[in-house]
Amino acid sequence: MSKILVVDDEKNIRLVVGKSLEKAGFDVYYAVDGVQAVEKANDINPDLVLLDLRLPKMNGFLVLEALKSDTSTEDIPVMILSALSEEDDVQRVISLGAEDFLVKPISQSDLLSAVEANIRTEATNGQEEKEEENNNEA
Amino acid sequence: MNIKTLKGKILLGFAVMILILAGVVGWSIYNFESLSNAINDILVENYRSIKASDSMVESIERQDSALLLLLRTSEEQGQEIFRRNEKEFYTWLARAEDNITIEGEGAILEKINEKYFSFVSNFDQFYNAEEDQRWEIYNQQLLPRFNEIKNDIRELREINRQAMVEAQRSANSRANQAIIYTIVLALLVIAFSLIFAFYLTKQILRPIKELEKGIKKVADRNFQQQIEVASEDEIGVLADEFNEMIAKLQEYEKLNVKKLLMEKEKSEAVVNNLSSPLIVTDQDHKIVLINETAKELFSIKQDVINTHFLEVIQAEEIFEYIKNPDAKEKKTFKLKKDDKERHYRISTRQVIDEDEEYQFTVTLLEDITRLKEIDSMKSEFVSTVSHEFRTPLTSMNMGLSMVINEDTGELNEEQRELLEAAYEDVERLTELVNDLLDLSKIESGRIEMEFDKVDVNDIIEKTLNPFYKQAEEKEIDLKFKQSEDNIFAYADPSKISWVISNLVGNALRYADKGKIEVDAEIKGRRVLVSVADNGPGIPREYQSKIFDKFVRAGNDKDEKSGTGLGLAISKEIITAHNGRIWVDSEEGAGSTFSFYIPRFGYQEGKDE
Repeated sequence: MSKILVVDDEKNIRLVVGKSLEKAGFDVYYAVDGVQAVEKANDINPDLVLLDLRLPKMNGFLVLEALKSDTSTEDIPVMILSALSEEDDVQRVISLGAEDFLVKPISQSDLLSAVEANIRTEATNGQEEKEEENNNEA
Repeated sequence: MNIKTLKGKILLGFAVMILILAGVVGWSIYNFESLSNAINDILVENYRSIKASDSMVESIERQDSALLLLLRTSEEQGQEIFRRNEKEFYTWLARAEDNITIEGEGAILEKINEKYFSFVSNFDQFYNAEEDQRWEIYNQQLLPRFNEIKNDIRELREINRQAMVEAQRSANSRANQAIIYTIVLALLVIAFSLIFAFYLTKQILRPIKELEKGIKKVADRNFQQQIEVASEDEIGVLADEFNEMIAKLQEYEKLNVKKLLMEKEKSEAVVNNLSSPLIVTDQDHKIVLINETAKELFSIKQDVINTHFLEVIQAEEIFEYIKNPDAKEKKTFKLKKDDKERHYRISTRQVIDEDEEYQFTVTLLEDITRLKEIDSMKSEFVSTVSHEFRTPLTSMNMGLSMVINEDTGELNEEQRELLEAAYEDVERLTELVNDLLDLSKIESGRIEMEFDKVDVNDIIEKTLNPFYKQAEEKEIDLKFKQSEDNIFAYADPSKISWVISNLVGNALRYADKGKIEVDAEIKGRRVLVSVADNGPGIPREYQSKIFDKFVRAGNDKDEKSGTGLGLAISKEIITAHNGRIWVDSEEGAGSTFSFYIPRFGYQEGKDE
């Protein structure tokens, strides 16, 4: 089963995004601030990080930078899910190595198709492929 | 007698002349009368005496002939002639005696009478004498007596003739005298008339001249004078009235000057206390008026009146704006004041005089820095609020869609209906938040326009693609006329596409059935894009406001409504292109939304 780390300080977002992803068959983990996000990414090595930009303790840009500059986490795809939509912000996260930029609010279907397009698959990790197959079977 | 009126003076003058004329006429009549008398005298007195003398001579000569006749033959005839002429002689003698007018005439007549008596007595003696004695009597008595009488009569005639000559001379002299007197009098009348006419003209004209001079001075706005007219006639009254009028005018002018001064001071006070810089320039762009704030802004210390604008203010951009007196939109400029950048909105107004000749340009620079700050604060606020909305909207959207998709269990109809309504509103709210963010970005200039050479037909085609299905469902004939090829504009393709899609989306939203026509064409230096529908149209009162934020035509708040921001955003986009967007619409007959954007190759301030 693919693991997705949802990083958002908003409890409700964690709830609805998490539920949506769980319903779609993903294994969902949560982080409530930037520091926790970096820790958990290292701990659980998720197949995708869904990252908010405005976060307490350490903002999303710094989290992204930290993940992409650490060899153990640099391969994890990171998708930004933020209320910010300024061109500058988009440019900045893309240059930092984020895979996609989703602007809140987003519909369930848009979220899922974006997740599916970006999640680490067998092409990038053999182990993931197996889990993916398991998921499909489930 | 003191005659006061002009009429009186003129009448008096004429009266004197008439009197003199009457005198001349009277004198002439008198002279004619005496002349006539003199002629009468000659005729009556002397002519009669002469006539009597001549008749007496004739009679006595006939008597002499009778005597000679008697001396020769006929006794009877001779006596008869003698006696008849004797009677005749006495008749004329009596007449002459009745008409004694000259001194000595009576004595002569008496002498004639005596002599004629003896002549007649001698005839009796002659008649009774014998034939031979008759010659003797005739020669010695009758003939000498006859000659004496004749001579006396001649004397009588002569004195009468002389009297006649005397009378004629007297009449002539009288006539001459009359002529001279008449001439003298006539000359007097003429002289008097001339003097009177001269006096009258002078009397009337002098005050009129004075008045004329006065009026001329008044025309030159000299109210410091009074006209001196001593007379009390009509002209005098006129002069008095005139003086009174001048006094009133003087008073009026004083009042006006005072008012003008007050107005001037007021205007100056207003201009100088104006917190915005104000500059007035004339036709040659020379400064006519500049207020303290403007001097401060451009660090002007010296007197700059009558100096060319550019000599004083080195701001070409502003000068270019002022130079073009055509109607134009307000423009903003950045100027440095106290080392801080400040925003000024410039506006000009042409002051045109009565002859509609352009006179002055009033330029006002409004410091809108604070407004700009407030505006950016507002945009910032809108942006923040919108962002804050996005997160809860996300959870609402996703939560609702999960429930509606029955990921959390089955729903009954009622639950579904309610949740779908909620979901719909969440979507609308999302749209609104996105529009608000777009608008605030464009307004604050945070969206960068990416201008390029774009094929307008291509943009329209691509933009319309997603709409055809929707149009078909609503039985609307959506058509791109494409009446011209190769239309290239200088624009940001994604923004123009956004505008077109907003306009088409609106047309679709408000129309049921009918048609929507999109077209583009080149209009000189610009490209005109239009979206025409035959929908319900827009009431006139909304047409000018429809491009403002949150304005929707009519009071429809039903599901047809958009966010009310689409046209506001469209306007911002088109304005950022240096273009113009507007609507032509008639209620019930559809609407045509059109916009201009610069044609490629004609951009960058190359406006028509």
